[in-house]
Amino acid sequence: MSDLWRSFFRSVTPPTLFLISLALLWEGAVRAGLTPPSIAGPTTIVDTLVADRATIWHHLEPTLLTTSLGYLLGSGVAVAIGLCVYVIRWLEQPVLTAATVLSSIPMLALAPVLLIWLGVGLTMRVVLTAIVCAFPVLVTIVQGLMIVPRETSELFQSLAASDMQRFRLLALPNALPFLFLGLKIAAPLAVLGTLIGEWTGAEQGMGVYMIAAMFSLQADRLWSAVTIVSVLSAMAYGYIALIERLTIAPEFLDGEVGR
Amino acid sequence: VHFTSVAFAERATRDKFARAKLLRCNKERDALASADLGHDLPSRREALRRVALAGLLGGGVAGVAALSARALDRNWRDEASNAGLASVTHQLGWLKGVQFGGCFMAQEKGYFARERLAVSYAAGGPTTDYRTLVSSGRFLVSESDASELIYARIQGQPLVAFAAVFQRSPAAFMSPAARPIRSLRDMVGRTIGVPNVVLARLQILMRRQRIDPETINFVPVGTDASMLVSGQIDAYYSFATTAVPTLRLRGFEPYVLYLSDMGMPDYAQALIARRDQVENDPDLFVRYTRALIGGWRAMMADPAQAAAVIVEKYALPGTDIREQVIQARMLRDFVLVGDALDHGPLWIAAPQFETALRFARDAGVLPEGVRVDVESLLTQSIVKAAASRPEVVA
Repeated sequence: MSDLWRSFFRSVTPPTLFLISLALLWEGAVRAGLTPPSIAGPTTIVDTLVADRATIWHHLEPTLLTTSLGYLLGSGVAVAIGLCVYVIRWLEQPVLTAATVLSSIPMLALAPVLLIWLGVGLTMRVVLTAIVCAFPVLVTIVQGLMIVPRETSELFQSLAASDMQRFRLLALPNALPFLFLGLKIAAPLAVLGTLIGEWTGAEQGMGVYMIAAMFSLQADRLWSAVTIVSVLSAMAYGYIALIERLTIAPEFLDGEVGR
Repeated sequence: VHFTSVAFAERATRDKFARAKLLRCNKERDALASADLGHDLPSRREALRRVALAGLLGGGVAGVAALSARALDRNWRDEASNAGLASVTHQLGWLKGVQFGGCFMAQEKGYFARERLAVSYAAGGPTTDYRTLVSSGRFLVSESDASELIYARIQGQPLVAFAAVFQRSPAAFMSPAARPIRSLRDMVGRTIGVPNVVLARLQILMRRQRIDPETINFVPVGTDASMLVSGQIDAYYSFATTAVPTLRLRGFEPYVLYLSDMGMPDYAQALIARRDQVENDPDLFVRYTRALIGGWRAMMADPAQAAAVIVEKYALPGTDIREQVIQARMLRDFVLVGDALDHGPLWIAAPQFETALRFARDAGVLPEGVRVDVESLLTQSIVKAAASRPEVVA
């Protein structure tokens, strides 16, 4: 354990110190009046977070719901398509091309299209989030399932492994690190997709809270919202990273990272 | 004897195995004792891993399920309470606030219930496409000004205005009172934040006043006050009713130049719907408009009181009450002016649409051969019927 803790502290201390000194500098600049009024200092942000916690929680709830449902839907569909591509090989190129085209549509342009199609509501926001999330997951799972180490593949060949064995024992374990990479990229994107959905007109949500703060010049609230959303994104990423660590055998993970 | 020797041999073998097993155990124990304690037993570690993974996944699933259940429950309760009423969906032009005070006061006073209407309001945002939402049938009613309704018509959207909330548009340019922009000419050499739709109209005015468009630096920003306060722009476009209270409360005194005073009179928040829907069920629109007229009368009778009710029950949690009260008091000058003084709130008439049409023609946005006549842009029949029978026949 002691080794583990030591390495943990070694990796956590420098960024923490950096962030703390950045916050101190920021606070100093705000106190000295060097910043425009549209920038709130860290202490103001913390004060607002505490004073406004009931309101923030009210708006956080639908955001959490949309983010998680959209993320589940998007990555679920992406994994399903990935499996189809694994079974029907010639689908790889058409599917990846279509996905690239879809993902190159800016999210902000996607919102009005979905709005007309699905109307303002939870469904539209969840679908928008799902579309935003699906691309990285799809690309990584397809790649993970397709790229299999040659030697292992030959071993499976010589041992006359069945298709199911080949999938379960070779392709799937091999795809997991790739898949988790995609899932980790998609997690903060899900938060972003939700916010964009909420900007197009919602009753409740962190996106609505941000817009209301922005248009009534409440810099303190806007920055609190930005803080909350950043923490949310980081937590979404951390959650998936934690599941990854617990799912993939550490030897494999270490080998993959090359330590 | 033979039997005994076999039994003995058997025991000896068993002992040998037992000894060997014991030895192995001891060796393992010794190895463990001398080993680095940083490594747990593989089995314990595996169990821990499984518990942690199950906890993480289970926690996630439980959280999503709880959130979904709450959302579903709210949805069902709404549906149950609206049974047997005619449904009106209204996409508001902005975030909920006193700007739509008449709507909320009509709800508050029970005018919708009296008309047997279940009305739901959706808040708008900077990227909401109000006209398309109505054309596509997503919402029954939304809001527009005359100019933008004309653009929508050119795009082929079958929309018609049937009432107007703001008889005079509060659209204006806000500039610092210390460095005011009092006219189009004052904008020369300055940086002005204005959305592209409004810019098209400004360019016509510039042409008429022989001002070179190149001399003004237009930036296409949204209605965001922070750029004005931080001095990045010299003026920006917004509704005065929303901008002035915000700026004043932050200690920033604005100078307001209304577009109507620049020669661009227009309605604002004119209620729009699809023409076929108005023609198919005029009674629904009359009932809705009648309830709204009552709502706006209630709002105008005591703006501050209405603002308090709206902030408490209808606006977003966290809406600034001081700002809303200032705004509510400003609204009278836009809602109860002109025709509304004679005919009551929400009145709509052709002249402002004619002006907007002239502008569109001058701007060249009306393509050759496309004829848009005023009659196709608005209908007076709804508001006339609603105003003539202010008392509801039960």
